[in-house]
Amino acid sequence: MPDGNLRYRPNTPKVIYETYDDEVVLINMDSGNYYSLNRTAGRAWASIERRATAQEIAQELCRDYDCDGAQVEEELLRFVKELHQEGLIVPDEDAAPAPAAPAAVPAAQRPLFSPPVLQKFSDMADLLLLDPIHEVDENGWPHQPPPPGN
Amino acid sequence: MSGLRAESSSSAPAENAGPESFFETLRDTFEQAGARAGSSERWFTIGGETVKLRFAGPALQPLIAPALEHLAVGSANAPALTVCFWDSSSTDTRMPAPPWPTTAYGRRGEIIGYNTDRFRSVYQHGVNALHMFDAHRRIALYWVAGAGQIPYWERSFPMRTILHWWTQGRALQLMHAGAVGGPSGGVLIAGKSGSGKSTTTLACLDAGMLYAGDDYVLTRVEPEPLVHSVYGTAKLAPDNLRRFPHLRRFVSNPDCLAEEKAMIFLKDVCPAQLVRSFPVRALLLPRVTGRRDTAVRRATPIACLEALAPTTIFHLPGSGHDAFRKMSLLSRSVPGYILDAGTDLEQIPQAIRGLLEGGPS
Repeated sequence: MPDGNLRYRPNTPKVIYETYDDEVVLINMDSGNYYSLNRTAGRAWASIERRATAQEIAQELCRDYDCDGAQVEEELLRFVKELHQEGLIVPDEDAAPAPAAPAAVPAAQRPLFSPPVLQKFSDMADLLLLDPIHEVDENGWPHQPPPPGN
Repeated sequence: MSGLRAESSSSAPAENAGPESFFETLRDTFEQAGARAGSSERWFTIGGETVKLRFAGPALQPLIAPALEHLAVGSANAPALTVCFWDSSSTDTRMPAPPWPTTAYGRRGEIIGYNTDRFRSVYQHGVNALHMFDAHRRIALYWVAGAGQIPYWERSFPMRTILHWWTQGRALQLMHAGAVGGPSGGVLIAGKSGSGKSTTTLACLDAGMLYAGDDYVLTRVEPEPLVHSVYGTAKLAPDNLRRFPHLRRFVSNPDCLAEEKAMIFLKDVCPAQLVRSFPVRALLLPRVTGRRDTAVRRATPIACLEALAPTTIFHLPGSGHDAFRKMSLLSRSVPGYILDAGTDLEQIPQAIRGLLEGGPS
């Protein structure tokens, strides 16, 4: 498990992303993988943009959801680890502490916590050249077989 | 077939040739090819602007121009884009060796060190074609060793990377999507290969709707979303042809269907339905259900972006944040729908017409 006190940042420009209504689409331009984040994950992503640590994000979510604090922290550590493994975030240890979290939701109105989900899609990765160029013609121009249909 | 001549003594790379220097070398090579093998030019209106295609030698025009034929115009002055096409084989012209090492090819074919604010360079693996673009002069170069190397799918959407470069920094974006509709507007049909784009667009064509493309279209994302047709082609998986038997006689590659999709040039089929542009009223994400009936339900802007952006970006070398931002803008500015496409094809255009006339039924 990563340290819940580490600060990360989105791995831009290798990773590009767009957010709408707490949902996020991310594209890793290096690997060809792309991802969608559910609303909980999108909330956490917005907090990572502000350089919040996993522990700080867990505390913010606990103020807004009906949840078990230990479970939320465990889920956030797992989620941040997954983002890091996928190359979507990188450590940003020099970052300033995160600004104050949004206002808490009254207890009676808190929805049930649903875990953050990072959904991964790998179907574009085969469009990328995975192997170095080995075959060149007598003039130095590469010769690769045509890819399957397009 | 290799069109490169074995004159290795004179093909040494130009040491330290940067993008501008190599671009000029290749422009000279193109002119030499034209002087040697004859040249021709064609003019088209693409995205509302005039585009001039110059061909050296006889081999490439028959492969490149048919997909654009519905946009052909007479000659004009001051094109907004000029593209120079040549192959070494039919022009018997030697291509200078690349000045970059074999390690310079990026994962989408981008040539590292040869992509600057002004110049774009990509080697299209598989097609074994080099494309370069000078954004200042809006001149592009398209070279391939031999015309036989150009696969059928490149003939269905030729020079898509060059068109993508040309539109960067403007509100236009080439998108991996189809588009069908009526005079007052239509839908952009997004989704990767196999999602049902072609079945949906061809079912709409059969129903008399207007057609702007089935695979790549040029979309102006603001102020009002507008789709421009680029390619008047349709590609269909061979086993899908049984659903459109009347198209069988128009298939341009009937002897290759064991390995290729059936490719149809729609100017031969329904020229009056090929349209240059129409406003985009909605984004549609087709799903093949296997059920008889077709249904439509709302899709979130994020679902639309997820269907549209990754497949566009990874098929267009050099695209990234700018293209993503434009597709995000489009996904937010028009409503999105999932089209659960049924096997009763007549229901598909009915559902889309219903959307265009006032929302899902």
